Amino acid sequence: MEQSGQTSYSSSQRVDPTVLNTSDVNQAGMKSGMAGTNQSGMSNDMPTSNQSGMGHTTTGSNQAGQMSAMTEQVIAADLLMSAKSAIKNYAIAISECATPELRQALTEQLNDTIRSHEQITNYMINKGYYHPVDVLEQLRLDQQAAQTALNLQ
Amino acid sequence: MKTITLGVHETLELHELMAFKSLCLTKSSTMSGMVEDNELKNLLTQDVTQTKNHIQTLQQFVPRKGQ
Repeated sequence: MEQSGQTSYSSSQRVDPTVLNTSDVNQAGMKSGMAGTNQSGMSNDMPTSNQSGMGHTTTGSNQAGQMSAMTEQVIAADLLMSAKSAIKNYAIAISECATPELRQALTEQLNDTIRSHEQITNYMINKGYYHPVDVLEQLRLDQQAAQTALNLQ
Repeated sequence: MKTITLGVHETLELHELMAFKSLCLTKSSTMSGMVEDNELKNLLTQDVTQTKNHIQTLQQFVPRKGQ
């Protein structure tokens, strides 16, 4: 399950307060979004924008829509992706190592990264952002994430 | 740190890693200022500290001009 993130719940579906960022802020975003202010047209383009969680989040409403697509869930997903890529990159680099000192350094960093990856994974599972066991639920989130991303702009 | 001569392939991998880690560091330090959830903020700041250390270690291996 690669794509864990950026998911939000559309209005037709269950709204999980842990997925949408703090509901009060979110509602503030909703209001401004519905009023058509500061959202740079995003809410108009997104059919499910009211409860999408994507367009109207902490960062979106705080920074006048500048980073409106960047929810905390997206940030967490990005952090997880980075950890995953780092692990792969380290493994590839180590497999080309000829210098013992470099191999040692890279191995230590690989282990650090594996530990970080574990922490981020646990965080995302606890938040309900990531469902490694429930494949169907994860796929549903993936579909939503994809749709939300496609609906941006 | 004593001078270590790296092979060509090692050097390229090192270059790739440093470019990747620098990007990660930039992202994490930017994001840590935008996030409100404390747990996520901690994960990000922790990542910033760790990635800084990693990059500094990698820098020691980068060959310098004339070396």
